[in-house]
Amino acid sequence: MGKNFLLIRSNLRKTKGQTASILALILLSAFMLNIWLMLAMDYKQNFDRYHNRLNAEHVAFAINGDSDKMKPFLSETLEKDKRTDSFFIDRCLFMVGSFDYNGGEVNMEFIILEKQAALTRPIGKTELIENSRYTSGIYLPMIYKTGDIDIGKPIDIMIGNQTINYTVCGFFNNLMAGSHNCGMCTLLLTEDKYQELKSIGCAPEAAFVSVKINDKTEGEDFEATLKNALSAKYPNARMRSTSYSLVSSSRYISQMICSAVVSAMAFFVLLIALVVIASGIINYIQENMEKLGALKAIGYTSRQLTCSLLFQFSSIALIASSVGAALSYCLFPAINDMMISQTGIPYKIYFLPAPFFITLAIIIGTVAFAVWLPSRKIRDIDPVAALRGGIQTHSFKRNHIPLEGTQIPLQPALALKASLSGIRQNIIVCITMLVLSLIVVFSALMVKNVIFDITPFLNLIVGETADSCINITADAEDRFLKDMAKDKRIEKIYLYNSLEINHIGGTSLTATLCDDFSKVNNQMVCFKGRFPKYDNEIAIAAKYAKENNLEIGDEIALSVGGRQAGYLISGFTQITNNLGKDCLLTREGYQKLGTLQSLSSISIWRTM
Amino acid sequence: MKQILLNTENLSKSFSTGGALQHVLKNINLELYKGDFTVIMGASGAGKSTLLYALSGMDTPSLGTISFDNQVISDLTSDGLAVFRRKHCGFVFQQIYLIDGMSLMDNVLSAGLVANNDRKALILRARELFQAVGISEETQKKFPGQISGGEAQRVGIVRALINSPEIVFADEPTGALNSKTGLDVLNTLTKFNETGQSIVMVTHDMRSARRGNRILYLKDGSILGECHLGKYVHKDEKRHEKLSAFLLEMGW
Ligand SMILES: Nc1ncnc2c1ncn2[C@@H]1O[C@H](COP(=O)(O)OP(=O)(O)OP(=O)(O)O)[C@@H](O)[C@H]1O
Ligand SMILES: [Mg+2]
Repeated sequence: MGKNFLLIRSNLRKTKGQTASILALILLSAFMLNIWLMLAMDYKQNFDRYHNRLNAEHVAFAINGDSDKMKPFLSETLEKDKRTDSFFIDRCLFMVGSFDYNGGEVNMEFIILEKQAALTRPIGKTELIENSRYTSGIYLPMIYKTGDIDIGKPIDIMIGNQTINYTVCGFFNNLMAGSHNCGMCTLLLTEDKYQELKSIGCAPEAAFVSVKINDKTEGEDFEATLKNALSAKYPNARMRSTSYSLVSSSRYISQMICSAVVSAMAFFVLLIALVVIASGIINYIQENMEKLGALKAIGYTSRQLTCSLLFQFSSIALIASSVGAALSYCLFPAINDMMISQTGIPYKIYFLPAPFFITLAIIIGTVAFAVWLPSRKIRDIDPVAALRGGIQTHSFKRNHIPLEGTQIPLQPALALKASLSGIRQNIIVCITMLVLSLIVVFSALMVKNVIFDITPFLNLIVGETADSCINITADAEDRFLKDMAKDKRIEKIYLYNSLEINHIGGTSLTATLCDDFSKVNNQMVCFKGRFPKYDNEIAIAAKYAKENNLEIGDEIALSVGGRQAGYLISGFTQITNNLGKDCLLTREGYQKLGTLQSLSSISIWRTM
Repeated sequence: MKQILLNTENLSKSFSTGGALQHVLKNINLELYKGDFTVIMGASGAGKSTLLYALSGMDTPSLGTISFDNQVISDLTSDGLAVFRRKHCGFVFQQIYLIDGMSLMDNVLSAGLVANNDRKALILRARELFQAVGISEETQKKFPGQISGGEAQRVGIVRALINSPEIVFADEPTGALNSKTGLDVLNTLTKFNETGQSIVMVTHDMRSARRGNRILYLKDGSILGECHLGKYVHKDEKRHEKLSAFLLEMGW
């Protein structure tokens, strides 16, 4: 121990600059590793903790109709299924709607519940995060709390074709339907407002069913069989459902992206640190061959010499990574705020021993490896050869750029000589610089794309962002399109609908219909084959195709409300929304299955 | 009757250079005794250093055995030899190879700590030894780049003695020094020998050889003869004549 300390102190004296840079690199790497591990190991667990606390469901669905009348059939179907653990059937009002949020608009399927009923549900409980003295109005998911949407303030909510003004009474959290990325979103109304909305009639009554199943990984299959059973019994009822895996992954998209980015950067930086360490050791051994030989002569074993290097670098790694990991707790609150604004699920920061120690273990382990690998060379040092002065400290194997035969002027010739004879060091410096610049560019682009101009990022995860998006009823479509055609400011315009269809022999898919896919901005969405062009074509998500062994050119059968038609697969898309249970159809193609009754969205791009 | 410290049986060492086998040491049978100041002399290339490295367990013989205190050391692994060296041997080289990032004191301690963990005792012994070789406390704090060749060689002796080795090996310790500083080093070695320290020293130089009580003459890898001089006495003319006659006989 003592002799290690003396050797280490002497090594450190000579390599202050290098040690400082290793310290800094390891610190940075530990900082990011710990953030990554906290996000990866605990952040999503928080969803499960919340899930348990609220006794949340694994499959939730709403189906239009009189809940009392449907209840016997629903109960029977659920009880029959062995996968069911427990369930709860409740009444609700179920309709698409929208409200302004954060400079844009939330537009989705609302499950509107009476507040007291929602708070006392045994399964799929709702938890009030903020309450107030207001006794008549609306409660919104906590994710929507902004400057404009706050307690006591009025809010206009469009439900079906009516816009209704409510007072915000508070905020709540609901796991399976408490955000715009759950497939559906609950809203709570006080008793009086609930009755009022019911009497207005713009939001039809529905049954809202929460099911807990024994094995949460079977959620999607369960959801699919349930839907098949329901659509067979009630072919014309509007339905919406969501499952554990869909909600848990879509509420945590930003957490996943963030941890992927952070882990990539952490490992990049760690790699540089390791390269610097390994090259430092190679250098050290080369320059100190004779001294190491003399140390061996006076009785140091190769293992002791290697251990003192291991000890030296592991202590540096231990100190730097502890400090780095500790520092990451300073930044974590900011990251947490960012994450909460996307997940909508509160997270309390506390010390996590596992990520901390894993960070230390990863760093110390890899550092020790980077030290051990080059220091095996110490074993080859022969003390006798060292004492005889027979070890060459530098390999002067070649006389690069012989001065006698070159036309190059002296200064550049000497410079070339120097860099060629130290070629190994120079290559290492080059690699280091390369990786460093990669990280800098990568981080700069990330910052630009995520913070300053998020269009490319949005295109990546949500697809297309039009200048305007308008919902329109089927009977007004033609007239509206004619009017728009006259408007010179419009660059392009297309219609799309999103609805559910059933793949016979598979599960239900979210189908996106478009009048003309050639107008879509991101043609890369269909990365293999092409978008559907004719009414018998369909493009499906590659993930779904792979899971079901479907190839381009295969025919699949789809059904909607009892009507059935066959389609040829024309292409695979990269869409992973809805866990890849997604397909694209032309509007004509869909018409073979049913007529479009619900609202269509119109995306409009303006010419600038 | 003197106690045997080291003995060799049919010790041979050969090197193959470019296909040809060169026999550097040939069938050497030798006994070294406790408390002796043994000097090995011989022409350049006779194999003196090779013999010293073999005796001190730094190199392994090609044939034959070497025993230390009746324990065979010639079949130890390289790490086993390192442990043997740190426990029983001290070394003074022609070049000293001090570690330049450490003070002189730390250089000595780092050699001590490899065999012994009692730091306090080591520091006391190092101070004593430094005082014995005439290196002041101020100088002990210096770094190898800040001292003279003679001082460096004396630090080398302190480093060699820090673990109280049974035997000290020195290969031309005065080779790189001028006569004044060389004399300091020899006086130091003699002083330690007088306190019972066994020493084996290779040298070219008669003035150094005179310090030994037993002189071995090596020629072409074999011991040609030996001469016993008795206890070293300063300015002993007879001693000098005896050594001269011996060397003349050996063909020096
Ligand atoms: N590793 C080796 N490979 C080949 N030959 C070697 C090796 N080491 C020593 N020799 C040869 O062994 C012979 C003896 O070398 P050694 O160093 O023992 O001589 P020496 O008596 O110490 O000479 P000097 O007085 O010049 O130091 C020399 O001829 C040398 O060339
Ligand atoms: Mg020699």
